[in-house]
Amino acid sequence: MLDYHGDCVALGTFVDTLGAASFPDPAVAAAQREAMEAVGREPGPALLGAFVQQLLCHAAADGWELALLRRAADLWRRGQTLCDQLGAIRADLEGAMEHPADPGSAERFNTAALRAQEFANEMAGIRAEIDELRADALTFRHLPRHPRQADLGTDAWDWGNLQLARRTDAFVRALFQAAGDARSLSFAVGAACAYGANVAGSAYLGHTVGGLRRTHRHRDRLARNTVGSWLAAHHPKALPLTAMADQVRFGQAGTTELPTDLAGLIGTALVNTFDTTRTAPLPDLGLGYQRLLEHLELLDAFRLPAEPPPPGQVWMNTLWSDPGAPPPSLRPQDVDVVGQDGGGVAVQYGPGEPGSHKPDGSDGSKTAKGCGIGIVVIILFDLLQAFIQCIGQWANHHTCTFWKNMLLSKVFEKDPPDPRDPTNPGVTQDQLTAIAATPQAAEFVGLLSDSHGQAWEAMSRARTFLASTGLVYPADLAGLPLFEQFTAVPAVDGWPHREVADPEASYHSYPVSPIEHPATEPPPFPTGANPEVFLEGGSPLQAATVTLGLWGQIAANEHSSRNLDLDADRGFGHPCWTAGNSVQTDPIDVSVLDYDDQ
Amino acid sequence: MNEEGQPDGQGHEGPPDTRPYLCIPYWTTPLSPNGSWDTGQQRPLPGTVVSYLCDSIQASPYQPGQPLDVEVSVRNSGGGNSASLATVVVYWADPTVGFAKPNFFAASVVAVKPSRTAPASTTTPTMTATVPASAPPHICLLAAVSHPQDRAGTVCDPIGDRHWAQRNLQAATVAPGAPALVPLTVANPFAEEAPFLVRVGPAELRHAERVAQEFGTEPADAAATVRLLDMDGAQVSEDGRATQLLLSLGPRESVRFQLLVDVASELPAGQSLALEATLLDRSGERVIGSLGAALLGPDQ
Repeated sequence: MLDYHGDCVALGTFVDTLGAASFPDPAVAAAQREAMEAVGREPGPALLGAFVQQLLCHAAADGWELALLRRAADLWRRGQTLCDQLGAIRADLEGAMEHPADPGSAERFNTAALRAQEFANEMAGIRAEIDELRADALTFRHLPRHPRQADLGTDAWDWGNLQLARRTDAFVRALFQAAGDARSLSFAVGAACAYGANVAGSAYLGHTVGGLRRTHRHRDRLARNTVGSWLAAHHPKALPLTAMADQVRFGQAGTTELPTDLAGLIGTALVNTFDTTRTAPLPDLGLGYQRLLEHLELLDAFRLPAEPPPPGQVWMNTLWSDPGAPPPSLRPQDVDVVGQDGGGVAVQYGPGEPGSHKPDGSDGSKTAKGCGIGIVVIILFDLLQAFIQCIGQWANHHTCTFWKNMLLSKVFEKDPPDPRDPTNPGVTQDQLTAIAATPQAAEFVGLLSDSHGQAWEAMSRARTFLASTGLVYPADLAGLPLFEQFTAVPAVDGWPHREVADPEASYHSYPVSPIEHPATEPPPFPTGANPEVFLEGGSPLQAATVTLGLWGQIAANEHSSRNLDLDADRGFGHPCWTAGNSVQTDPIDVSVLDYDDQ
Repeated sequence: MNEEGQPDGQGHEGPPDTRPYLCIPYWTTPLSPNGSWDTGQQRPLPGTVVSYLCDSIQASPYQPGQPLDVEVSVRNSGGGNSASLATVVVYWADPTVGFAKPNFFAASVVAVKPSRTAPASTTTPTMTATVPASAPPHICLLAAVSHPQDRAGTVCDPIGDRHWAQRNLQAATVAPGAPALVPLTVANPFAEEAPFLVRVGPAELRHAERVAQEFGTEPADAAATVRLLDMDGAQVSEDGRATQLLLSLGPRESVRFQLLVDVASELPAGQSLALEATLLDRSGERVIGSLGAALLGPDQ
């Protein structure tokens, strides 16, 4: 199953293909004109039709993933705000000390110092929420096991999985059958596009994953999101996520009601396609639509804040003028700290090494345990406390042992402190002037900048974490090894691989588990092909060609097609199938379903 | 190397390391058929690399007392998938072999994503500053990239430390009977006293081609006689096509010399002669610093 970008691009390429095609049969040519006019006049329903699988998945889901993403987006927004606030605090502190004689500099300094302490408290406040979110994401409850893999009968399957593996061709035909106007016809055309896109696109995903969505759901999600990001970055038919949300929202901004005509169309098609007495209850389509809109908007919310600027050149000169005495850092040196919950040091000591060209341990979910926010909190608390305690002594040209002790101590090995009441340093203009000339002022500026940088890096790590757990698109990270493996077809020797024993620990790597028998040929994509291969003309498997085949039959009122598995489960173009035995046995007794079988 | 042809410790499960692994790259295409782009791992720099001409440091035309724009490209070959904020500091110095106390020029911060499968680098915003009008007509630019978890060494060591790089080339006009005096400072970059060997002579062909390319010229098939003079004009090394001097320098001490260059015949238009000065440890085995000079004919 593809993602939003894949479905959207497939719609665009199919419309081009259909528009350019010529049909000798006048009835088919008339249907062509009608379809093109409908899509041109009603682009929203067409795109929503292309998202019909997404809509049904959302409708059938338990809502856990969206709730998790909502929490993540809320934390992300607060993190962005805090990062921006820290930038403003830094600017005030640095500016006041750079020009201590300016009127108002002392007040500016005191106010910023108070705000900095409040900021540290806020950071400490969200740290627990971040840890909780991270723990919930790492349960991977948002990627539930496929019901077929649990040998459940289809009456116990959720509609998200059912619609991808049963009566797929029939459902598209039922949509066309029920389409009575341009809007509904446009929706049906979109759904036909999604059919072809999923048949061809899922084959591509399975090839890069090394197996099937059913057996490699973690890798499949990474692959799906990566292919989507790749298409968003490279394909001219791609749209931004919020633009897609706008296009499938009917009526005024903020509207989340699925239009009744489209709800009726989908509902009718489902009832006409499936024997609903042998399925789970029909899902709430309106809820699915609301979730789809929210999902599109949330996915677009994870932009990194602006990179923190360095301190002014005056400070940088002081800090870096002697290469033999670089400024101190409170961050651990030669130690990797990202893997430790609640702060503290762990994981890797010694000098770093270049990363592998292939996905390696640094791509696994275990590296994603912490984003380092706890360490930022500890450093900020200690830094501000020490600076405020020492101000008076520095102003009188005395040495402050508290400051030196802080620099010498391994603050990162402490536990994060509880929030404290902010202290107003109460610095006078004279004191500020005296302090500003001290080397400790430059050290303070450098350490504050370092903390800001660390907060930004924590955001960057958090986004990588969310992408690596499949919750958000990797976007600009798609060129890194963890994700890049899904944008070029690998050379394979045997396919598809069975489930792996501990997928959470190894889903970053191509599976080495045994082949699921009966073995089948991997999709015939050339080695090294990028995701465009299933969308562009000339490919052995093109989404638009699959769609055109089905659409042509519908237009000509022919009926010789099969229901193809939309996960390409057991290979490209494999019809919907059932197992005569447990899918855990070897070999699986694969039985292709007749057209009317459910 | 392991069976996957990767450095030991890579490509296997183990303690994951997501720290940045920074460098200022000296090359972006493999130096040999089975080689790689510059990941920072090959330090000291291979002999085929012109250590005083790092293309990752780019500058606008330099004039003392006028604003100078400098950009530096850096790369992160580390593991993981998230960006690191690296600090890039640029220094300038008089034409120097070995750097002791370079002058701060400007500094910037840049987010560098790890890049493990392509020779990708990230370029800093343009850093603009003014080198004093009293500075010589040629200067050396020196850059260092650092991150709290992957810090640059405290010795300015572009040859041995991947965090450092230099752009350190000057030009002089020569003609038969009109020898050139090229200023040359020799500096001890270390915090302890040490003996050094300074060698000056013609650049090998590949280096000469690279130097010539900088001036839009071809390497000249000509020879020059060189000797080192102290600042009083006294000769301190033998003269010949190459010369060398053994000296001892205190911690971060620098000594100024003049290189006297004499050509037997006029350099044709469009050609240049490349000279290199290298600072070596006493054994002459380890290169500590380098400096290039292009000799051009009077018409260029």
